[in-house]
Amino acid sequence: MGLIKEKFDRTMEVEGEWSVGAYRWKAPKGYLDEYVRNFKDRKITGTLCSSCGRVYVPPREICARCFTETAEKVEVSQYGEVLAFLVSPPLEKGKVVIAGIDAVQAGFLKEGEQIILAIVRFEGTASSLVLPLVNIEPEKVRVGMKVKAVWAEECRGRLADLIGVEPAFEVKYE
Amino acid sequence: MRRVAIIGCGQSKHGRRTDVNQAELVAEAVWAAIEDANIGVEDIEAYAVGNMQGFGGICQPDLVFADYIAAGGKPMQRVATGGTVGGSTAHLGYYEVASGMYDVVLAVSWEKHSDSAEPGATTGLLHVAFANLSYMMKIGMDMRSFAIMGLAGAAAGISAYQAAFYMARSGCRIEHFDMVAAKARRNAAKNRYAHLKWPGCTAEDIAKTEMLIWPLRFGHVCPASDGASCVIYASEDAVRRLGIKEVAWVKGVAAYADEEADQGESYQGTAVVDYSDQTGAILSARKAYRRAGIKDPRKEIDVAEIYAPFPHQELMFSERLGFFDDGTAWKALEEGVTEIDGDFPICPSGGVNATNAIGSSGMQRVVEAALQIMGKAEDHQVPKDVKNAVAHAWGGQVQFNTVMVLGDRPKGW
Repeated sequence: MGLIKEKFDRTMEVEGEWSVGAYRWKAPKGYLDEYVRNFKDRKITGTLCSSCGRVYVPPREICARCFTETAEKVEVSQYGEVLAFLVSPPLEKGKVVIAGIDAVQAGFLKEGEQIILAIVRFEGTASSLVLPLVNIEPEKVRVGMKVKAVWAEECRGRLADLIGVEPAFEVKYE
Repeated sequence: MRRVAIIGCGQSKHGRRTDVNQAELVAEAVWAAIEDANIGVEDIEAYAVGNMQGFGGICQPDLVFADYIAAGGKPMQRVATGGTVGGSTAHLGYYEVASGMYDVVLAVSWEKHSDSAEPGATTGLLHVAFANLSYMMKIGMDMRSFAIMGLAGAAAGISAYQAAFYMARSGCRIEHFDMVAAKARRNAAKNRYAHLKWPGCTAEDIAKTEMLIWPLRFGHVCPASDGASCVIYASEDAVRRLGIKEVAWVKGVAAYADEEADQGESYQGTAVVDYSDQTGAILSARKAYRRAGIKDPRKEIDVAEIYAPFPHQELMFSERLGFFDDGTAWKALEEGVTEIDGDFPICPSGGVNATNAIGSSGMQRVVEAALQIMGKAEDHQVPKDVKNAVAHAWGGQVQFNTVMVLGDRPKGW
């Protein structure tokens, strides 16, 4: 596809490492750090704008509509609704290559699995999150369906603790 | 504000252009425009340039090509607004003339995807997303979640979500996306500068292509093209002084930014819940029409060039720009209203869905709209009298929009 896959007579390799966590962010300090820390207790938290009443999840520092500091932190519901969703075809090797890494080959994704990505708004919030929708067949997913958070067996206070969402009720269609 | 006209348009051939480097590619469009305007290079007083930063694998290409386009000894500014950049650069050129600062200004924007590994993806998208991803990894995103995010992809991914939102909102189906993509390829076959040409392409042909991630198929996705587009603006006095006969007048421009969608910057929240809202497009259109003196866009505008890399965007933006009611554009599509010979042609050039050299794409909409006004669009000229045309550009994390209204006569003539 690109130049990288074409053969060159002279190429050069440079060894080294890139400390991806070293990037400094001012804004999320105390907001996102606390957000993921609360995952340990299986809690989803957001921030409340005292001016317009919007609740942001993930929490943000400043309301982009009112430009006021959203200092108040609130716990939000574990239940939400699907606003939109994507369905991947069954995954194969060589289909999902990110920055040169085959995600199926590397074992990040399972061969043959189908991933449903849902945009979820948790109840009482004014923003949305992209999360995998699990424990449901793709053909049963509908916009507006109620879902609830799915947590890892052992929550350690990291982003990966929130695995995704699953249907809040048993889905039956005639 | 002074009256401003487009006096010359130029495009390079778009496609995979490994025969030229970036500077030569840009120069191709620039000299075509100068020739089209039939002016001397000494008549150009200033340059506005722009591309999508990082996608061509070269960080500051504008430093290299200034002398290829005779910008030495003249003011030159570069614009960067993501995918919208072609539209924004077109606006900058217009501002410079309208304000009275200069009389003749050249605006050019370009992209050369083939210079980057995995066209655009590695250098371009990583430089957009890497800071965010590195923070998410710091707070404990695992590799599975990383791969899942990559599954949807960046621009294609956010457009896929947008397509899903648009389907839920409007009730349109994937078949309508197939129809839009087929129309784009058919129209592109008539445009000698376009990339993905497919004469007689039907919705069934598109429907046979592989599903990438529901609801988008391979056949729905725009190509990663190389290309450059250029326009030359002149003030009313300069048009008279240079003795130029064929012009397209700029009647009104407007641009609006909105909040970032897709979970916000550095994974902080965002109040944009529906990616297909596109408030920025609605506001831009309203203001541009007001400035142009247009009251009923559906009746007064004759043709539109919409920035739609993905087929749902042509439907969605044609509603946001006021041509159809919210959620009804697919009905107009079914009736053939938006075909090249329809009542309201949209993207007769094939549009961004058939040719996407990102930076160039926004400017190309302005070029194509101007060509329709001047009657110089050759085989893809719409068979009706074109008095007003609209050029739209979109980009950023779905939040930047620009709208330009062009006419065969200046406003208030």
